[in-house]
Amino acid sequence: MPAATRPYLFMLSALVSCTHGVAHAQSIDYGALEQLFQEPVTASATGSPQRVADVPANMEIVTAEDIRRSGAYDLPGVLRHVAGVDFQQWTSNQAEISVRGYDQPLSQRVLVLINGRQVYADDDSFTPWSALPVELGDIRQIEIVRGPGSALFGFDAVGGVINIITYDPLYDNVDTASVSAGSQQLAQGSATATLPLGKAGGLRVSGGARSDQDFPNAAATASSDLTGRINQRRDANLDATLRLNDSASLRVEASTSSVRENLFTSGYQYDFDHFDTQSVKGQLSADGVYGLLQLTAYTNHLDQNSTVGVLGIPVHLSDRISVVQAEDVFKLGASNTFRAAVEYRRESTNTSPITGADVFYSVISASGMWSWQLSPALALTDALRVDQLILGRDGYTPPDYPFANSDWDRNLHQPSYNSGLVWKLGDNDTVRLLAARGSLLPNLVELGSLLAHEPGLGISGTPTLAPTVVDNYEIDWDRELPQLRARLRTAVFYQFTDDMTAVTGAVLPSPTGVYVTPQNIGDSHALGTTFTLTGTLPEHWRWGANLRLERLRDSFSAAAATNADLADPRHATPEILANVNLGWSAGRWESDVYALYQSRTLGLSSNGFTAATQITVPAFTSVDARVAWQLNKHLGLALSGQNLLHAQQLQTSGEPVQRRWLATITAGW
Amino acid sequence: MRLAPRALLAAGVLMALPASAQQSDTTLLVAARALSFLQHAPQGEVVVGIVYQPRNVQSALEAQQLYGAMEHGFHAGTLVLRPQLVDLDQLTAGGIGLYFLTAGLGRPAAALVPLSRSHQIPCVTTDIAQVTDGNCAMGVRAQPRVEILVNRTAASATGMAFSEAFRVMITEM
Repeated sequence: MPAATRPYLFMLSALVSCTHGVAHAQSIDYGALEQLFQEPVTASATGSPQRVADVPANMEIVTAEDIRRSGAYDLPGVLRHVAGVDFQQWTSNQAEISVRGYDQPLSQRVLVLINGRQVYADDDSFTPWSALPVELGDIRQIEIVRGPGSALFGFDAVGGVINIITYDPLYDNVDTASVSAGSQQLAQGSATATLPLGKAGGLRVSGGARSDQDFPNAAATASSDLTGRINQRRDANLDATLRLNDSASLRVEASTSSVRENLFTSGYQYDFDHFDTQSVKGQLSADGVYGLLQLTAYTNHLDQNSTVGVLGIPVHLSDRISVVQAEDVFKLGASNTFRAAVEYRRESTNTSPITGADVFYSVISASGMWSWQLSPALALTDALRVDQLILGRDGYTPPDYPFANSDWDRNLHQPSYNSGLVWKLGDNDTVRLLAARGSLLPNLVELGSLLAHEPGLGISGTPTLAPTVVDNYEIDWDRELPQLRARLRTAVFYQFTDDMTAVTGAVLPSPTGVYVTPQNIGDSHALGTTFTLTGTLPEHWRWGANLRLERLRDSFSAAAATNADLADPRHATPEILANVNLGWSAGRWESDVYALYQSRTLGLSSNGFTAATQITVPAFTSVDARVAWQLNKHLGLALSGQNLLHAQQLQTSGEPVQRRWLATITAGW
Repeated sequence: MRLAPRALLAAGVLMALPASAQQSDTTLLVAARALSFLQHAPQGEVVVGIVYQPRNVQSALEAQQLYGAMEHGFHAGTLVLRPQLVDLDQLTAGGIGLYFLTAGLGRPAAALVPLSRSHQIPCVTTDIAQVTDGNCAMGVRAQPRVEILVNRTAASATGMAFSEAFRVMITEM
C-alpha cells in the first residue's frame, strides 16, 4: 500500500469504528472525545463537557499515563508534583493536599469527588485519602480546578476541586493487576477487571490492599502514638454501565473501604483512627432533544473511630450523606449552552464521645450556568448557585450544656458564583479573566457533633459558626510554543477568605466550668502567581517545570494571632513552591525523575488541647523517581522511590518523612 | 464516473502539493472521528462518494489519496467501506452513504447541495468555506488545534444530528 494512503486508512478505521452502531449519545465517552479533540475533556469546570483548553477555569488534568509514570502508590503521591498543589506528608499513610496554600492536617479547602460523587468527608471537612475507594488502575484522569467551584459543586469547593474520573466500563476495557513491596514493610496489591454485560453493558470490579509501618518516633513531638503502629488499607469497588437504548444509559457504582492508620489531626496531635466507608450511586444519563440529562442519587456512609479522641476519650462518628441531583445541559441556537440543576442533600452525624444526639442538616440547591460564545475567539461563562441549608439537632443535651437543641434551628442562604471570560488571541494564546465565590460550610464536628465533658472542662461544637466565604479573582495566560514543542501557562490570583474557622478558641461558661468551642477567627488574603512549562523533546523525552509564588496576610482575632487557636495558614503556606520533572521512554523502558522545592515554613504542634508550639520547617528539596521495564505484552516491572535525597527529612511540623523504595510487578491482559 | 487513481497520479498532482497532502491526512482523520457522534451513523457496507474535479489539482490530490485508502475495500467487522470517485460535473447519489467534498472546489460545489439533501447523504469537508456557504454540513481543521464547524441548516437538511455532548463542544453556525 502506498505510504500516502496509510493516513486515510487510519481515518477510515476510525470511521468504521464509529459506524458499528456504538452510540456515544447517552453519556460522556471521555476516550472518544479525547481521541477526537486530541486533548483531555472535562465536565468539572461548568458541568458541560468541554475541552480542557476551553474551560473558564484554571484547570489541570492528570492523565492515566501521568499516574503510571509518577511512580506513586497512592493518590496524594500522584498529586504531589502538580503545579500549585500543596502537599504535606504527616504520616506514611496520611498526606494532605491543598490548592493555593492553606494546607493543614485534615485539609479543608479542596472538594474531592470520584465521578462527581463527593468523597470529601464534610462531617469533619477533610478528605480521608487512604480511605477513598478507588485504585490507581481505575482512573482515567484526575481533574484539578484551582480556585472555587461552588457554583457547580456546592459547599466546600473553595480552594479547588479534585474530581477523579474512572474508566467507564461501557467504553473502556481495563484489566490490570499489580503487587508491590517496599521499604517500611510496605506491601500492596491491586487489581482491576472489566467484564462485558452482554452487548449493551460493562462491569468493572476492582480492589486493593496495602499495609506499611509508619515513620519511627524520631521527632520531639507528641508522636508517642506512632510507635510500632501498622497502617492498613483495603477497598473494593463495583462499577457497571448499561445502555438502556440508543439515547440512555444507567451507571451504578458501589464501594467499600476500610482503613486503620495513624492520623495527624486538626488539633495537631497524633491519633490512631479507623475509617470504614460504604457508598452506592446510581446515575441515569440520557441525550436527546431535551439535552444531556442526568439524574443522580447516592449515599455515603463513613464510620470514624479515633483511639485517642478528645480529652483522652475515644470518639466514634457515624456520618451519612444522601444526595439526589438532577441536571440538564443543553444548547440553544449556535452559541449558547446552558446547564440547569437542582439538588437535595441530607447529612447526619451522631454526637461523640457523649452520645445520644444527632446533628444534621438538609440542603436544597438550585444552580444554573450560561456559556455564551460571543465570537469564535471569545466566550463568557457565568454560573450561579444558591444553597439553602436547614440545620438541626435532636436528642440528649448534657445538664450543664450551654446550648439547647433549639439553638440549632438555623437556616443559611448561601450564594456562590463562577464567572469566566475566555479570549483566544490567535492560535497560540488564550487569556482568561476569572472571578468566583465559594463557601466552606462549618462541618458537623464544628457544629456540635463533637461533644465531650470532664469535670470543669467541656469540648463542643457550636451552632453559631458562620460559613467561610472565599472570593477568588485571577488572570490567566496560556501560550503555545510550537517551535519548542511546549506550552506556557501563567496565572496571577488574589483570594480573600472571610470568616475563617479555628477548631478551638472560644470559651463558653457553663454551670460546672467552661466549654471550649470552635470560632470564626477572622480573614485571610492570598496573593500569588504560578508559571507552568510543559513540553516534549523529539522522540523520547518529556519535561515540565512549575513555580508558585504566594504570600498570605491574616487579620485574625488577638487570641488566634498567637496560634492558641491552632490556625496559622500564613506561616504554614510556603512562599515558594517549585517542581521540575524529566521523563524518557523508549521501547520497553520508561524513566522519570521529579524534584520538588519548598521554601521555609513554620508549622504548628500541640502537646495539649490549646498549647501550640511553632516548629520551623527549613526549606527542602525532595526527589522522586521511577524506572520501568515492560518484559512483554503482559508483564512489567518498576522500581520507584520517594524522598530519595535523605533517609529522613523534616517536611512538616510532624514526623520527618522517610526515604521509600518500592518495587512493582504489573500484569495486564 | 470512476477514474483510476493512476490517472490522477499521471496528472502530477503528488508532485504539485506534497505538503498539503500531509496536512489533509490529519484533518481527515479528525473528520472521521467526528462522525462517530452522529446519532444515526451509517452501518453495513458504505460507499463513500469522493466529490472532486479532475482538473483541480488540490481536489484531485485529495480524491486520489482517499481512493487509494479504500481501493480494496476497508473491512472491519461487518462493515466495508468502498470508494467511489464522483466528478463534480457528473454528480451521482447512487448507492452512496457519505460524501467527502474535496478541498478547493469553490462555488461549483454548490451543485452537490440538492443531491445530498434530496438523498439525505451527510457531507464532510476540509474546506471550511464550503461549510460557511452551506454546501457541506461539517468542516474540520486539525492544525494547530482540532476545530469542528457544523452548519446547522445544512446538517439538518441532510439528516445529520449529533449528540448533545458533542454539540456543546463544537462550533455551530
